[in-house]
Amino acid sequence: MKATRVTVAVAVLLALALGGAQAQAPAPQRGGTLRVGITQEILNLDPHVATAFSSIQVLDLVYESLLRLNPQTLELEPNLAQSWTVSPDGLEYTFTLRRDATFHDGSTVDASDVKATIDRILDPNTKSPQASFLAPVKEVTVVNPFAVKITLRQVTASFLSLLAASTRGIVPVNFDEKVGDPKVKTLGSGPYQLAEFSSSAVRLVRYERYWRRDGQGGRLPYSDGVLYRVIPDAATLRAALRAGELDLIIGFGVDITAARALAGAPDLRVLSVADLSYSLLGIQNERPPFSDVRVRQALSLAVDRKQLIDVVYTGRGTIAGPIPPTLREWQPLPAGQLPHYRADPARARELLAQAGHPRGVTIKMMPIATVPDAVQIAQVLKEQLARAGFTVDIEQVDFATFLARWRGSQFDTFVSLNSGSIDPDIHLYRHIHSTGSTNVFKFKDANVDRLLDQARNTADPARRRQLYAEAQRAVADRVPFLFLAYADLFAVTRAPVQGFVLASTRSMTPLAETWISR
Amino acid sequence: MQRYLIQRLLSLVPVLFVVSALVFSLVHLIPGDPAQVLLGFENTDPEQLARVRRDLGLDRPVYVQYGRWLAKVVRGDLGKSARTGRPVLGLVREALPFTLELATYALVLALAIAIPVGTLAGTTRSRLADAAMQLLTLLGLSLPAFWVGTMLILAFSVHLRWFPVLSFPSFAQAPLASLWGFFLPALTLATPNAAAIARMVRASLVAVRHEEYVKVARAKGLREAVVVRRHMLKNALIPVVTLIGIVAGYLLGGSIVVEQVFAIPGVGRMGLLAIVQRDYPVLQAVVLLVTFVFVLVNLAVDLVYVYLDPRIRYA
Repeated sequence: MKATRVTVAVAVLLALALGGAQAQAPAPQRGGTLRVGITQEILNLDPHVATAFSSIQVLDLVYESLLRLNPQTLELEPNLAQSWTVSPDGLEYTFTLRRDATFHDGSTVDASDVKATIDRILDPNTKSPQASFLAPVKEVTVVNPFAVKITLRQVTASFLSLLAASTRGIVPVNFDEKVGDPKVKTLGSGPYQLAEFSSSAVRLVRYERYWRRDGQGGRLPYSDGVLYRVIPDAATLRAALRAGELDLIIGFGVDITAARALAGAPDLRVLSVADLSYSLLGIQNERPPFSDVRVRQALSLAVDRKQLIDVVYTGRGTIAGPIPPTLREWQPLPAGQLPHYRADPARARELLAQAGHPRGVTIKMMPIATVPDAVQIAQVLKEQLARAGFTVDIEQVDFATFLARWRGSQFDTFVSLNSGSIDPDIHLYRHIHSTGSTNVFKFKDANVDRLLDQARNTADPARRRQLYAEAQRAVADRVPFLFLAYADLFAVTRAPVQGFVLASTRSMTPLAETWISR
Repeated sequence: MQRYLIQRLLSLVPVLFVVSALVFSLVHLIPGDPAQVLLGFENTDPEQLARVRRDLGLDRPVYVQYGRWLAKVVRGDLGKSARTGRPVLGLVREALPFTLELATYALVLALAIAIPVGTLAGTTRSRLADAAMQLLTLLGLSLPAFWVGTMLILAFSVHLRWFPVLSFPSFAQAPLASLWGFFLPALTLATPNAAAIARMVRASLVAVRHEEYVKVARAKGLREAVVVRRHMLKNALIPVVTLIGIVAGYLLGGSIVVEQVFAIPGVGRMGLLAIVQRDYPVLQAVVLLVTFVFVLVNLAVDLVYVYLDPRIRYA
C-alpha cells in the first residue's frame, strides 16, 4: 500500500528588500562558516528532552528522524527511512531504512537504532516531553537490519507527521553510554556534528560522511560549519548583522520591528513566511463567567482580529481560524465562514446580558513575558473588549509564574503563542480535546471530542477533511479559546547568503543547503 | 592589623550564610519552579511533573532543601544546574572571567574619567565650566545603560566599525584584542559610576578648598598643581574610596544589564536567567559569589584608608 502523504501548502517566500533583479541561480560554493544569531539561550542538546526552540534549531542539523518535512512545500519526504508501507488496518507501519546513513562515530544507522530511539523516548526515566506524542505506539520490532515495524494501539492518522522532527531524531543503541552526557554532547546522523557547546555559542562542523546529495548530486552540507551565537537583546542582534558579524538572524526577536528596521539595507535580505504558530487568548472555561458559552462567544465577537493584526503586526499576518491557512490540503475555513468571527461589539453586549451580565464583567488577562508582542496584543484586546462591556485588568507576571499558572489553569485569560503543526490532529487535539495533553483551558465539549477522535482514527484523507471541516465550525462556535492571528515569520540574511529557505515550521534543516557566495 | 583581617574574613561566614538563607527562602516564595520550566509547554501531566520534582529534590520542605544544599556547599560542591543538568561550578568558572574583566575594566575607566573631571570641576574658578561638568555628570547618572549601550554599538560598531560587536576574547590570551572588544561594554558600565565618583571628587575638593592646610600650602608658594595633587586630592579622596566600595556593588549589579545588551556570557546574565528560569542552584551560586566579592572589595577599601590617612589604625 502506498504511504499516506500529507501534502502541499506552499510557504510563500517574500524578499522585502531585494535590490535589483536576480540573475539565474549561481552554482553553490563550498566552505566558510555560517554565523547564525538567535536571542534564546541554548540549554540542552538531548534531542528527546530539549523543548527550547533554540535547542531545536541546533538539533535540526545534528539529528535526523525517519521522515522529514520539505521546508518549502511542507510535504513529508523520505529521510532515514527511504520508503514505508502501512498495513490495511492502518495499525502497522513498516519502514525500510537507507543503507548509507551513518552516525557521527561512523557506525551505520540500522533498525535496532530506531527501536532503541523509540524505547528511549517512551522510557519514563528519560522524562521525555515527546513521550505523549508517541503514546499510540504499542511495539517496535526489528524485521531485518534495515527494516523496522512499528505497531500502533489504534489508528493514528497523524503518525507519519509525528516521526518528522529532530526531537524524535534517531540515536544509536546505548546512546546514553556512548555519548556520555547527551545534554552537552551529541551523536546523531545529521549533516553537522557538534564541535563546541556553551550556553552562549554552539559551533557545528560538517560531517564528512553525510549521505544526502543536492539536486546535482553534489555533497552536502555546503558550508564547513555553523556557528550559533546567542544575543539576547534584539537591537544588538540587528546591529551585529549590520556590522557584518552575523550572516543570518532568526527566531524570537526577529519580528516585524526587525524586518522594518532592516528592510531597504542594500546588503541585507529580509525573508518572510506565514507562521504555523498562532497567537491566542487563552480562556479558563471552568471559571465563571467563562463557564457560560455565551460569554466566550461574546469575547470572540468583541475582538476585531483584522484591526489587531493591523496594529500589532502592521498588517503582516492572517486571521486565525482553527486550521492554519498554509495547510490548504486541510481546507482551512476563512474567517468569514466561522461563527462569532465578525467583530460585533453590540451583539457581544447582548450575549453578555443574556448570560446575566447586563453591566459587563471584569476579567484578568495575563500576557506571556517571553513573546514580545503579547503585551501589545493584550493592550489592543483591552481596548476592543471594553466596547463590549469587558473591563480588562492586565496582569504582567514573569515567565516562570506564567508557566506555573498555565499548568495549573490558574487564570481568567492569557495571551500567548501556541506552536502549530502540519497535521490538524497534532495542531488541535492536544489543546482542545477534553483529554488533550495541554488542554489547560479545561474545555470540554462532547461533539468536539467526537469529531477530533474520529478524525484522529480515520486513515482516509477525504473523510478526515470532512471531519475537520465540521470540527473547525464546532470549535469556533464553542470557543475553547480565541485563535487570534498567524503572524508572518521573519529572518534576515546578509546578501551573499544563498539557498536559505525560511520554513513555516521554523526548521533549520535548510542550513545544510545554504552557502555564502564570495 | 593581622587580627583585624582575620576578624573581617571570619565575619564573611555569617554574612554569606544569612544572604544565602534569605535568597533561598525568597525564591521559593514566588510561584513557579525549575521542574515546570523544564517541562515547558509540552504537556500538563502531573505525574511527569512529580517525577521531575522528585529528581530535583523539590518535593522536600524548603528547610530540608536548604540543609542539603548547605551540606554540599560546605564540601565545595555547588550542585548541578536544575535547568541544564551541568555542574554549577563549571558554569561559574565559564562565566566569571567575563564579568571580572568587565567590572575591573569599567572601574579603571570610571576612575580615569572621574578623577580628572571631578578635580577640574572642584578646583576651577570658572562657574560655567563647573556647571557644564555638573550637567555632564548628571546626564551620565541618568541615562539608562541599555540605551547608552545600544547607542554606542550603533555609532562605533555599525556606522564607524571601530569596535567589534560580538568579540570578547580573554585578557590572558589576547590582552589587546580583549581590551578592544570589551571597551564599549566597559564604557557603558563605567558611565554612571564615573559620574557618581566625579561628583564626589568635586564635592570633597570643594570641602577642603578652604582648609587651613591648603592655605598654608599656598602660602608656602607651592605651585597650584602640587597643592591640588599633594594636599587637596589626597585628603579629598577618602570619601571617594568609600564610594568605590559601594560602586563595586553597582558594577556587579550593572553588569546584568550590560551583559544582556552586549551579549556577554558573564555572571550577571547567568544570574538573570537563573531567576527567570528558577534555576535555584545557579542562582544561589551567583548570589554567594556576588556577596563574596562585594565584601572582599569593601575590606580592601578599608585597608586603603590606612594608606591614605595614617591617623586611621585597625587594632
